[in-house]
Amino acid sequence: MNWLKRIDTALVTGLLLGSGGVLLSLLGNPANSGICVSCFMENLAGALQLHPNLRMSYIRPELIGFVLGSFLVATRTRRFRVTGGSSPVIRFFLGFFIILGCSVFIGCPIKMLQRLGSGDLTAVAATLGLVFGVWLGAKYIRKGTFLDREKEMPRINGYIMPLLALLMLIFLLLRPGFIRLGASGPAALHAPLLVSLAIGLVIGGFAQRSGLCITGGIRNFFLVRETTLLFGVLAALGSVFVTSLATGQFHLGMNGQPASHLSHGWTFLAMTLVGLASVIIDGCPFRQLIKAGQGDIDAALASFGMLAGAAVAISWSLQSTSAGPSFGGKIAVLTGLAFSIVVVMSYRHRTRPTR
Amino acid sequence: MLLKSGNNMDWLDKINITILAGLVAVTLGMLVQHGLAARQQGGAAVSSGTSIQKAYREQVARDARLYRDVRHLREQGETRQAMARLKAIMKAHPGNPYSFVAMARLDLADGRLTGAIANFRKAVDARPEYVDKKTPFYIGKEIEAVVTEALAKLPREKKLKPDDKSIVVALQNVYYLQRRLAGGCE
Repeated sequence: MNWLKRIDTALVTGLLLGSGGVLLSLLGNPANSGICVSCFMENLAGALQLHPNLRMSYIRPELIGFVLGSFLVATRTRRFRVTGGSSPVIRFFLGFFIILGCSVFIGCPIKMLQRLGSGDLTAVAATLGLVFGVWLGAKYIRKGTFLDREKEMPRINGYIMPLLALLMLIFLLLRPGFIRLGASGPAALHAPLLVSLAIGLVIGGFAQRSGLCITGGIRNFFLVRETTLLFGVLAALGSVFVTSLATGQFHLGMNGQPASHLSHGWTFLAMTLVGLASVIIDGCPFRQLIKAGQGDIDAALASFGMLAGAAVAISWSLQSTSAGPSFGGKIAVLTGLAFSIVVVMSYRHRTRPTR
Repeated sequence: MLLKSGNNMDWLDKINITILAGLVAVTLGMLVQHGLAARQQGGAAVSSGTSIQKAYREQVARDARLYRDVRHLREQGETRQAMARLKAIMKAHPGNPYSFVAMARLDLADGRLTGAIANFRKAVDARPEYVDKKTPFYIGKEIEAVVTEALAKLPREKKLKPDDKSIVVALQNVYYLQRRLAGGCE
């Protein structure tokens, strides 16, 4: 198995993430949304009846796969370390605002790559916004901003998230009465359960090994010119481009793109929020799920914040539509940016950090 | 370790583990039984899809009955009478999104392309199932044909009349419909 060690796992994870997303779209997931953590969180919140929109209610097996794949690989490779206690409430609300930012753009950073790679030019503003947000976050880190140091926690804490993922799988299979699955709209669009779960597990496992993170890759480049994860991100973008081209899902242009809008200014600001907040909590929405699977309690709390954000985004109609962002969504982005800036100011250590 | 190894377990640990195993077994058993019962009765989550589809089909049939006269008059070329009948229905049944579809079809019959597009947009806004292939409401092909026609005409008209705001609005409606037809998680 020596050849496995020689392969750059970040690159492989990126390739799997990109091609897996396009494949899932082809097999039934919504167009350009084969993998989208924010959309899937909105679906999960609906399935748990945390919001009333039945069209957005489904338990996505991919989310379960990400957490369980990460958990299984982490436990097998002795990387399952249970840590936490680093500014939990702050992380919860940053996770919350990250999803609100994503819902204004209509997609998480992974979906942004999928949209961009399949020719959706409205995602250019999102990419610029995300890169700007991460650059801003990197600047704050350089100036001494970082959340508290995490500490070791009792192992039981680390098992909660994988057990919840397992419970969601049981709910999806047994479909008890309190679980609500929509029959129209995005909820009705899904790839076969086992395929979705398998792709989620494989990507989750590889992501645990590689530490691939969309915002982390960009952040590392800005901070220390380190390119391992960035190449993984570029590999994801490249594989989306190639597979969408090969499968006839590539459509270049601004118009006629699935679940998109032309309010580029708000898209830019929304993804700036996502980039900045993700750098503060050390990972994009996808990375939070992977870290939660490997025992990171802080990431689990951020994930719960993401679920709460997803429920609120739909319940309060903060999410954008093809017509553009809603008034509430714009206010949410501005509030999220203000909150993020208050956090980075509050956590700024005037002397150089020693960590 | 989550649990102590067998040798270190005292009586309290053994009781706890027994209770835990019992609780897990009972909970799982109840969940399985509930799931099976729900399936047999065509229950909750599984059947919500089926019952919704049934409700959709019933609504489509109701709409067909309610707007039958409008359709007949339009097919006979009596668009003015059809419009009068449609307005009467709209007064009696405000909020039925199918009125926008009927209006759009009358606009098309009278050659008002921009009016048809605006009404199709209102219809899709009010009932997104009109562009959802998995429901019986789906009229995506019809809307797509109108969008294609509009995309061939409107950009040319915009060049000829650059100050005409109505063409700009119509184009925005066309692009909106195009995005909705493309699908995605909306």
